[in-house]
Amino acid sequence: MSKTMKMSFVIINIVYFVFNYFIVPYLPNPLVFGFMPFQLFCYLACAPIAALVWGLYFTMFFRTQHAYFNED
Amino acid sequence: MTTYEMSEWGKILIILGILAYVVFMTFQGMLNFKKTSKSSEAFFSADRGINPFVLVCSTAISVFSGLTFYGFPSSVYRNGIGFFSATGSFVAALMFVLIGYRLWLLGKEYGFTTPSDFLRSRYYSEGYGLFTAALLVAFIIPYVALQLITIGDGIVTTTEGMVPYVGAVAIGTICIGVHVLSGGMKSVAWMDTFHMILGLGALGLILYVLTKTHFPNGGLAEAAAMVQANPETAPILGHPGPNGVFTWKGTLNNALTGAIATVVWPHIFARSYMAKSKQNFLVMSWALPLIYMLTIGILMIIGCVLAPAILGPGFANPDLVMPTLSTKYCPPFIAFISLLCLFAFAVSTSESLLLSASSLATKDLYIRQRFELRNREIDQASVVRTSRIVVVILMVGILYVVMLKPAYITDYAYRLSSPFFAMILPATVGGLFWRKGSKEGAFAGTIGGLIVVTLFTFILPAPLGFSALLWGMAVNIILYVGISLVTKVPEEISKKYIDRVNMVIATGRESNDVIDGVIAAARIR
Repeated sequence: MSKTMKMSFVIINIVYFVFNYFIVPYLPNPLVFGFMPFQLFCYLACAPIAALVWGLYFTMFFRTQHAYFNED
Repeated sequence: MTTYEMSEWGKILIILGILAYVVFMTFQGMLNFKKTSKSSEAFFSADRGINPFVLVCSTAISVFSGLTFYGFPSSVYRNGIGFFSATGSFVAALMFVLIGYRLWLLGKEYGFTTPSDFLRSRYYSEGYGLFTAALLVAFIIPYVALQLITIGDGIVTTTEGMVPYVGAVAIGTICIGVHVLSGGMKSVAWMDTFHMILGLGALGLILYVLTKTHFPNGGLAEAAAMVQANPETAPILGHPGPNGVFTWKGTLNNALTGAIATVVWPHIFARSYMAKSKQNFLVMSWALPLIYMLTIGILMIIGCVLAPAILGPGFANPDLVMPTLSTKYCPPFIAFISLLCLFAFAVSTSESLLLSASSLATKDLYIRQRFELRNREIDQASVVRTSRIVVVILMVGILYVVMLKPAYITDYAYRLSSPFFAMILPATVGGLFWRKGSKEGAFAGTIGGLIVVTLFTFILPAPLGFSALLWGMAVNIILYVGISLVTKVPEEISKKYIDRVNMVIATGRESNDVIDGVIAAARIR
């Protein structure tokens, strides 16, 4: 995997965790869908984003891994 | 609000349902008795053959304990939606892949099955291995005890005292003990998968029934409007919550305690060795956040919208939010479903922890000291037999704690369990990624961290609004790095546990030759 890709992955993760741990508590908080606080929505919506980013990155990473391939 | 009274027949049916569940679990455990009797790898690690779906379910439900099921809604009701930070924004998934894949490679190469296997070998120290094994076993016991107490209280509450506490705990103990004893990890992993599906389905049903029963016209929107309109409950919907807990410091404290250290909890750590292939880690990276979102999302909505809307502000005992909602505000059938959900969460965590404690006590404390270090042989069947005896001994110890309910021991030990487990995190991460991590650094960091956590948990208030765990972790890392920098690591250790793994990852192959070494060195540079 290229160094650029690794660096991008690290930066995206830093932004992701800073957003979750430090930014979300200070966002405005209207109800979305009529019942869910926007801050809670942000937390939950991060799950599919994380799943997408981590899933894509590790798909590429594990394509390069063939150790113990006979047991895959 | 509509409330429900349970009839005597309803209680009897619930008891019959619980007995049917116990019989089912026992039967499922027995199915694997023979398969796990001849090999400790089969008993402890399911022959390192757990497929991705089962591993994801097993890991998730092993993280979610009985305290998650009861504790999440009550903590959210008490302190607001900031409690979501206990999930660490799904960081466990990322850490499981980053740390777990390296542990899996090492487990394949050197046959590791416990956290201490790795720590002892990486830090070339029998003493450090023994120390971490004893530490983990000692603090698993109160953690499992608390799960059984939760099960006992859940059964007593749901049957309104028809099953006494002693009987309820006995049911939980038999259920867990027999299942682990007979089937080992093979049974536990499959039952975890069943529990994950059961738990998620039950949570969805509880959410639906509570909403439909109490807010038939406006649904969740009506409930949220009620919460928002009441100045006493409105702060639950935001930060920093009704008691001002979840500032950024509170969020960080909660994330560290609840999630960041999850990967080194002994039963989660050991799951790294059980993966069938690299595919497990790939699936874990995207599936675990989604499972967290669904499970915790439902618990959050119950805690921040339905609980305050139904119970109103100032509910006398917030710890009982979930059992009160499921027994008083749901039909009896849902009360039973809720109890099954509690079983799913509490039993799965207890079983995994019990198995971890058994493997640590058997392999690291007994077999290692009595046989391996004295160059004495022991066959695999004897290891499994010993493990089963250890499970029984551990269950007796746990039962003693549960029956006597020595509040001060259980509470203190529980408050220390997760922070103490977390103290092996720097040595684990450093041991996998840092060539200079030394035995002296690992000892100093772990012991220093334990002292600081204990000090700031019981003797002094933790300074600057940060938790005892955060201070303990900081001291642990400083000591680990500082002392490692001034001490030496044997070259063969760095080569074996760092360079070799770097090479396998860089080249993607486990074969070791000169060309691979050159390629790896070039890529790592």
